[in-house]
Amino acid sequence: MLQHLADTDLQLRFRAGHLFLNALVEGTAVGKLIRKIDSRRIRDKTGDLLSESTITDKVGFALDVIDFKDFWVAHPGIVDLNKQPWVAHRVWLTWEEMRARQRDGRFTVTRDQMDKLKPLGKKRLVASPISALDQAKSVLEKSEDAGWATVDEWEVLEVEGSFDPTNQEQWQECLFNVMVGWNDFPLRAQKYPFWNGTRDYLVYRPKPRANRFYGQSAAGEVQALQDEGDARLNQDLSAKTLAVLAGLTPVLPRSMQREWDRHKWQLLKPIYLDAPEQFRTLAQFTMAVRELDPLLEKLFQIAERISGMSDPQLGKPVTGSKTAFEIATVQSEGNIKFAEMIEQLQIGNTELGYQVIEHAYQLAMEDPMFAQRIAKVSTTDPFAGITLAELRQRWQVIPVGNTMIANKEANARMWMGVYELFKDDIFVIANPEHSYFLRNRVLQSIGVDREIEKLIGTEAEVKTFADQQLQLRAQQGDLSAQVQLQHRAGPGGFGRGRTFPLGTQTIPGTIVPPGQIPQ
Amino acid sequence: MAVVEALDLNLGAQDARDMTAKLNDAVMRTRLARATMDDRIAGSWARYEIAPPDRKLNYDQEPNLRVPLTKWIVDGVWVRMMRTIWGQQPYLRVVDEDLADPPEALPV
Repeated sequence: MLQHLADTDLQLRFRAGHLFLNALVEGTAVGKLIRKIDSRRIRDKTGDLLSESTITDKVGFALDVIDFKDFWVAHPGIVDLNKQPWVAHRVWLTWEEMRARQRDGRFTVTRDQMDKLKPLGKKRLVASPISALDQAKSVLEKSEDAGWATVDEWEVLEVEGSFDPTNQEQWQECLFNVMVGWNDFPLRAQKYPFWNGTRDYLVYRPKPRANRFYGQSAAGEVQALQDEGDARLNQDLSAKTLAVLAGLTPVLPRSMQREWDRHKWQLLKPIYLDAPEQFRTLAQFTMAVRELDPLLEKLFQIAERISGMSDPQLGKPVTGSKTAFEIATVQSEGNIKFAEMIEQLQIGNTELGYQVIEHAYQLAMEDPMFAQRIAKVSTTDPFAGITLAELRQRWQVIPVGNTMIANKEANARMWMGVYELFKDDIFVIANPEHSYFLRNRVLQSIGVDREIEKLIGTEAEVKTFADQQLQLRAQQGDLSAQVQLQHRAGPGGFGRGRTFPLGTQTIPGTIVPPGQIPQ
Repeated sequence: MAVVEALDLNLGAQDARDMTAKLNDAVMRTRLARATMDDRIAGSWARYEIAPPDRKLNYDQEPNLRVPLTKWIVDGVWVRMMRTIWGQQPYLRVVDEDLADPPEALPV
């Protein structure tokens, strides 16, 4: 059921791509588990008539990725989202969406109240207040060009929190919708609708800050290095340009100046000086010192250590004087950091798993269509014999993905290397069991699993073949094969020295018959 | 039979007005308090998307490039994260740890 909902309802991999990117750039990513009904208006033939009706294709969930610019918590010093006094999330709704919410009862306002709200529609970005983040994202996305500026929208806050709305010391978890800047009445004021008592937001912080809600941004960590790198690169290019300009500019004695010439330095336009040779010297000097700033490479090296991503991992060629040891150090440090980031993200995914199960539990009781789908997917009622109160105590949600899985390719490369190293080894060639083990591990590591036996046979077949080979060699007088056979067949099946040792009267190497102990 | 419950808080007009004003005010104050942090994050997006640095150019055609350092790092970590967490199915599994019954596979 969980995988079914993750794939069909949440489109989890797709959504998680956005979430994780937000988490890396912004430090904190926020998702929201929402109810979703897929319905549409169709026309179909009923008897002789063509009639129009609304049909529902699916009742279920969706995972919204919330932009950081649209999400606020009451207190940045409280880590746990559920312990925040309140959390707020901004949505922009068209008038049609506002009306739909009023019609289906989500917004508990009257038609008269809706009429008062209608003039409050505005255009995103034109409306105030607009934060730098709003502005930056719209510029980056070119969203103004994409047409938002032509649509009126209503700026609505959804606030979940523990409130005492009547000032009677009766605190309870509530859900409010209010229009930004409109204080006369809320669009919705109700008890928190979900039974599980957990706010339906999910927070991902790959690098947490101790005792802070907002996590560390990977982009923010390298910001100073990034800016220094930009400055140095542009200075280099600038210096180069100036040097070229200086080199291409005719520098003439002032006596050659005509009236219409101005003292303005332009490409290929002459400039007139009292001592032109000094200017040429300056240009040559600039050219010599600003070939390429070696500190830029140093900055990249520092960035590697901060991020834990080494040049080869990023697909960049290894430059400078880095040794294999230095590269390996960055990679191993980075792998540890990365594994920790994965653990932190999986905390969010575990919570997602519990919330999906709990919401499915509730929705299955509220909506027969959803209950039917879940029963069909699970082949039986997955919630039979369990209550919401027991669910988190009894059921353990375990995220499957880990760095071992991510390292599968590295593991495959390692086994290919081992194969190259040992395939011509004399002991591997001599013993089919060693050879089988090596081939088997290589195939396993590259993901061939079920077909292995078709390719290289079973372990038992190889063992039989190896025994036959050994016996054949022993019969042909191969001493080492005879020793191996004796070793297998001897009393107890272990031990060495069943040939006569040096210093005895018998010739060393003579094989003792099975069952007999050398004296 | 589907379960239905009444959720409305049934606030009086004045309580509703007070509550709405309080929420609008609280969110507005928080937005203002976070303005500096939002500025910084806006800068992170610009650096990630390799937007040219925002600065005054001293002459026409002055170079104004962005070293793609942030992009290299963020994308490098991001693809590894995606592959690690979503590179296999199921993404999550559920184990019943009921002490009364021995563990068994769930139809979840």
